[in-house]
Amino acid sequence: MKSTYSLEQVSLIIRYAWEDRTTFEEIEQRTGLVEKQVVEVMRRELKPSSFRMWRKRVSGRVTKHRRLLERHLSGPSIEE
Amino acid sequence: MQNAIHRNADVLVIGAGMAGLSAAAALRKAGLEVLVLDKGKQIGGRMATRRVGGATFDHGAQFVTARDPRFAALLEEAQTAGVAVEWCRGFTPEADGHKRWRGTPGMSALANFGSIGLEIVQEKQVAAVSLMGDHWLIRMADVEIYSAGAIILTAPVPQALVLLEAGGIQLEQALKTRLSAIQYERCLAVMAVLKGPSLMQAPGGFAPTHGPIAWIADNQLKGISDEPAVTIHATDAFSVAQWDQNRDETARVLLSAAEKWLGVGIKSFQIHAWRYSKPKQTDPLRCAVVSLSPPLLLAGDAFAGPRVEGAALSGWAAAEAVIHATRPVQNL
Ligand SMILES: Cc1cc2nc3c(=O)[nH]c(=O)nc-3n(C[C@H](O)[C@H](O)[C@H](O)COP(=O)(O)OP(=O)(O)OC[C@H]3O[C@@H](n4cnc5c(N)ncnc54)[C@H](O)[C@@H]3O)c2cc1C
Repeated sequence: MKSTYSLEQVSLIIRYAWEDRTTFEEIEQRTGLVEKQVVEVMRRELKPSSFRMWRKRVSGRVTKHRRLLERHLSGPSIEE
Repeated sequence: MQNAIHRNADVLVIGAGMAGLSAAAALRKAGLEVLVLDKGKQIGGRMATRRVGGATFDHGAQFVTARDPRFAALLEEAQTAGVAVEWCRGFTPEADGHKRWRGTPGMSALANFGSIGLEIVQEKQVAAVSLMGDHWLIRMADVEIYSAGAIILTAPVPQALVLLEAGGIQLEQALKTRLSAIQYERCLAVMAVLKGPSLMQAPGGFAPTHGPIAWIADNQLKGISDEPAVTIHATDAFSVAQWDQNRDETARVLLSAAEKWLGVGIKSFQIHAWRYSKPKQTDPLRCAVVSLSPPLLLAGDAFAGPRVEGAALSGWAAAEAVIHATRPVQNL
C-alpha cells in the first residue's frame, strides 16, 4: 500500500489506534479507515516489536470494538 | 450569560423512566456522581399513575413481569419496601400462571422507589447533545447548558437520534442504520371514572382480540383505586388512524366500544396520547455504544425487551459500559 496519508493523518491514526477506548468503529468514523487499514498503517509505521505489542493489546479487547462491547454487555438474552 | 455552563456532572442520565433510574442507581453504587434529567412533571416515564379525585389510574405500563434474576431481586426489594405487590398470575380466559406485579399505590410508586438517593432535575428538556473536546455539552430547551463526562440517553430512540443530530453528532453508518430501524407503536389511553362498579371480573384486566381496544383494566379491581375507574388502551392501528382527530371524540368512540365491559355510566374521562408506547422491533443488544471516549450510550426498552424489565436491564448494561469506560483499563 502506498503512503497516501499525510504526517498529521498518520500520527492521528496511530494515536487513535493506541487509545484503549477509541473503538475501531470510531476510528472509521473519524478517519474513514476500517480496522484492516488501521492495522496496515500500524504495521508500516511501527517497529515490529511495537506493532506486535499493539496487536496484543487490542485484539479481543472489548472496548476497542463496539460490537464486542455491546455483546459483552448483553449477557444471555431473555426469552419471550 | 447565554453560554455559561450551568452545571457539571460526571455522568448525565437523560430520562427518569425505568432505564434511566436503573442506570443512575447502578452508577451511583459504583461511586460515580450522577445527575438525572427528565422533561416530565413526574418521574417514571411510561410507568405512570394519575389521580382524579378518588380515582387512581395506571395509564401507561399495566404490570411488571420478571424473568431475569437481577430484576426479580429488585422487585422483591420493592415488595419488602411496600411499593410492589403481586397483582395476579394472568388474565382470563387463559391465565398462564406467570406472576404480574403492580406498584402500590400505582405503577409510579415503583419509579419513585427506584429514584431513592438520586439527584433528579424534573421538567428539564434536553434539546441537543454535542461533543466539546473530551466531554459532552448538553443544551436544554430553556437554553441552559450542562456539561458531562458521560451520557446515558434513554429517550425513545427516534427522539434520541434527533437530540444527537441537533448537536452535530455523527453516527457511524452501521449504527445509524440499526437505530433508524427502531419504530414504536402509538397508544391512545382513556381514563374514565365510572358511576358504579364495572362488569369486569377479577383480577380486572382483559385484552380483547378484535376491535379498537387492545387492553382494558379496572383499576378498582386491580386494587389501586378507591372509586370505580377504568383504563382503556387503544390498539396501535386505531391510535395511528385517530392520532390527528379530536381527542374527546376519539375517547367517546373507545368508551362506547368498551360499553359491554363497563355496564355503567361515565362520570368523567381524560385521554392521554403515548406517541412512543412500545417498540415494534427491539434491538438484539442491551444498549448502543455511540462513543466510549467520552462515553455516550443509548438505553431503554427498545434494547433489552419492550417492557419495564427490558428497560431496567438496558439501563444496567449502559451503566456497566460507563463504568468500564471510566475505570483504569484492564482486559475484560
Ligand atoms: C400504554 C402502555 C402500556 C404498557 N404496558 C406495559 C406492561 O403492562 N408491562 C410492561 O412491562 N411494560 C409495559 N409498557 C412498556 C413500559 O412502560 C416501557 O417498556 C418502559 O416503561 C420503558 O422505560 P424507559 O425508561 O425505556 O422509557 P420511558 O419510560 O419512556 O422513559 C424515558 C424518559 O425520558 C424522558 N425524556 C424523553 N426525552 C427527553 C428529553 N429530550 N429531555 C429530558 N427528558 C426526556 C421522558 O420524559 C421519560 O420520562 C407499556 C407502555 C405503554 C405506553
